[in-house]
Amino acid sequence: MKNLDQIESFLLTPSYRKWGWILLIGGIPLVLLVFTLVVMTGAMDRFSAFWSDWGLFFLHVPLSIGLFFLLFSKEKNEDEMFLALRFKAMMHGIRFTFAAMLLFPLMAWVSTIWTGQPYHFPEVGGNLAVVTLLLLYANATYGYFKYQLAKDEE
Amino acid sequence: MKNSIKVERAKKDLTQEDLAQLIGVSRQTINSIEKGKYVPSTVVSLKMSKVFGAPINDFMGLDENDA
Repeated sequence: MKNLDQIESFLLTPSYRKWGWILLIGGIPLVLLVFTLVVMTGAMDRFSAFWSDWGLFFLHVPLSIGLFFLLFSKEKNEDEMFLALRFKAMMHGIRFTFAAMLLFPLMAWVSTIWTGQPYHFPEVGGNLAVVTLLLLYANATYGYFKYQLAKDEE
Repeated sequence: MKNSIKVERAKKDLTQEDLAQLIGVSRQTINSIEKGKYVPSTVVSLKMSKVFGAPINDFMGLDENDA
């Protein structure tokens, strides 16, 4: 039986790593290619409207799925060290994201005040919802593991 | 943690790759353990003990930073 810290069934097979790189590296050139085509065909106005609505979505989807595949696909020789490194990296990632989501909008807000622009508190709700969801799930999983440990002590 | 895995490995004439295959981890992990960058689990330590034919204390131990 595997220890709790050696569970790796949630990981994808190593072949997903290739797709991760394809999505990650291919995502940006794809957007640039579309942009170039739009400029060349003179459809800039329509593209601007489309980009403001959907551009970030199309940019984020391949990048985020690519990054997800890269992080969650097994190494060719997956073992406890890579598992430990992945967990540690995820902890740092969550911490950085939490700080960034709080600090970046705040910096933008201070910047608007500093430059004398109209007072406007930054919209952070949507971004923070992602972090909250992430932390909620991480806490729930952590709690479940601790519950299992406590149950084993009975 | 300090260790003399490299020495024990040399005594048995094993490469990092050989040892990695014998205990079911990657070569990178053996390298990291030897350089003190990663502390292996008890299971991996016991597997190494079996391969070297020596108790864990003979090739791994605490150093002053662990006190």
